[in-house]
Amino acid sequence: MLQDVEPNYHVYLIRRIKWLVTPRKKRLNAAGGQRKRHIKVKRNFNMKLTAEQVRRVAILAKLRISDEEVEQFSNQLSSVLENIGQLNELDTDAVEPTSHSVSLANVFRIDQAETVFTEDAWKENAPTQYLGHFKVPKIIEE
Amino acid sequence: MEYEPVIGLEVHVQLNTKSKIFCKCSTSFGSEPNKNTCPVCLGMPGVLPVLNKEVVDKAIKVGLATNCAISPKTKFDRKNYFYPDLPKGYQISQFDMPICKKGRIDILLKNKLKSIGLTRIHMEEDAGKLLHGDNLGDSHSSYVDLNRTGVPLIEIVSEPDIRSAAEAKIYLEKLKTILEYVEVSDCNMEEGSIRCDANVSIRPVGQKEFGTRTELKNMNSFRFVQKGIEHEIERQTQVLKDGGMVIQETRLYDSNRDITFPMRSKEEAHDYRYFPEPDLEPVLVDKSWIKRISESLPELPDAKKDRFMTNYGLPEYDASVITSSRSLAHYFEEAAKGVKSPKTVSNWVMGEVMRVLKEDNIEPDQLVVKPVMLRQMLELVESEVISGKIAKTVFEEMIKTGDDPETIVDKKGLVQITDISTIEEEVKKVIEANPKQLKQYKEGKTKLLGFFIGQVMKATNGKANPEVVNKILKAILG
Repeated sequence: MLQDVEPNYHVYLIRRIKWLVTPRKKRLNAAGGQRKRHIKVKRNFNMKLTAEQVRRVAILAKLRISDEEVEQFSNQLSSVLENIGQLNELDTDAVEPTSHSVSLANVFRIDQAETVFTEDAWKENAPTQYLGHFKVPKIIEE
Repeated sequence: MEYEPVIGLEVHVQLNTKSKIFCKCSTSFGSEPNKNTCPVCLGMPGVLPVLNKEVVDKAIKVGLATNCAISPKTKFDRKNYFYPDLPKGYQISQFDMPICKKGRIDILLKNKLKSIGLTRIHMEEDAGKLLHGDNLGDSHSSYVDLNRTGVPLIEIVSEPDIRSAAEAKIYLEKLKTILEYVEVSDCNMEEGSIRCDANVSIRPVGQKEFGTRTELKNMNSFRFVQKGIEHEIERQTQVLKDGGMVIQETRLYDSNRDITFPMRSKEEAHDYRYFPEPDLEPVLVDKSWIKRISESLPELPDAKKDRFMTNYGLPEYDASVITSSRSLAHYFEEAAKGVKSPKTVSNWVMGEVMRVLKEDNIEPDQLVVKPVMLRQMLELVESEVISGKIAKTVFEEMIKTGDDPETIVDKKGLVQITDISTIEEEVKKVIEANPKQLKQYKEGKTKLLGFFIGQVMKATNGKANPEVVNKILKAILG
């Protein structure tokens, strides 16, 4: 079953994305220098990420980073965010949120069990194992 | 100050599909460690999950059985956290678009119906199992078995509608009954097919706002859920009475020591950073799908209970006890077929039958006394071949031998004595043997009638028809 998607929506999106990747000067020229801005900016992404935010992200991602890297990443991540933030200029009020880039839905498998690994293939990727278990450093937190 | 508990429950139920939710590994319990794994559930790079349709069917089934609205569109999300039981570094779950919303389960509370709201039901994958240190190898390591990783779960989240620990247990029992009726889970507590977390808070009676809640985990039986919650309510009450404040935290219940204690956790609060699972397409549920599932539903406990009350004239209590198990309800219906007094059948089912089931820890269909045997025995009572008292002996004998009641009555000579002259003789003998009691009776101590009846029954090994004995005794004693 295919999801009912407004066919024009794709056209709209493609046009929008093309517009976004076009340098600002060119865009203005294409619009005759007086393009009507009906698009509202929803969130301001120009704000620079704080060192604290970067450290928190690092902890969540289980990364150990030095103070210099905090500074470096806060600059780099900020500019990535700013770049992506341009998408916020799109007016998506009338567009249903999509969770997937392909307009497919209801992709299933039937409920049938199969043995996938003959032998102990799972072990091949286990650096350490013991009596059929993956062996890992002791987990203190329950 | 009087406090009122406010409780909401989150119940994880393992679905009884043959294969896992996103791959074709078996879900069978008790396999060798890591045998039921594949690149998908091991979280190897580049693999793609594909949704098991049976999981959606079963989730919808539970939704319909608990009066939920089924979402026309549902999707999966990633819940990110690092833990060795989760090889991908995220759990595929559902965040803002669960499959079922806004349901209701009715429970019987002190003979009154109460509705417990369901916030949502969503689908997700189970995580693996961890063994710590000394249980397996050395105490400096933990051991990971990923057989359970990817086994389908549904999480049933209740509204904070529950007001006591006992109520929580009744809710869980009712939920289990429903799950058993719709056959979506083994409901085996020992194997962890039902797991329950409780959100508990207290507030002064009459206050609308909720107090600060704690989340209770690690309660592996319904009894422990009740005890854990009871304990947590007591603890919170004490904290407030001492002028303290309840801290929002996760606590674990230790059934051996009957205490709850805070779970050790890092200062960094969880931030699951949910986002739509890009490897899975959304699921659209149309009306015909819902119709197909709803047509596959059996008669549900509540409907069955109502029918038992109307058709068999059972009291609500009897009807709800008997329908709490689908197989017990079936047993009752088979035994009550064409019987004049279904209430007698219900007494036997709730009495002797349930006692034996509990003692032997078996299911109704495993009972030696088949429903038809119980019915035949009750027919013998009804036609006065045996007395109600002797029936207990016959029942015990059926349990022991598996013979049908008539054979037992013949073999053991348990036929009731209704012959007046025989009974009269016994009555006379008893009166002669007890002159003292006779004198007292004549002097007005008529309560002794019971004593004489008992003596006659004893003399006839319980076979005399008690009514006849009663009549004759009264006639003779005057």
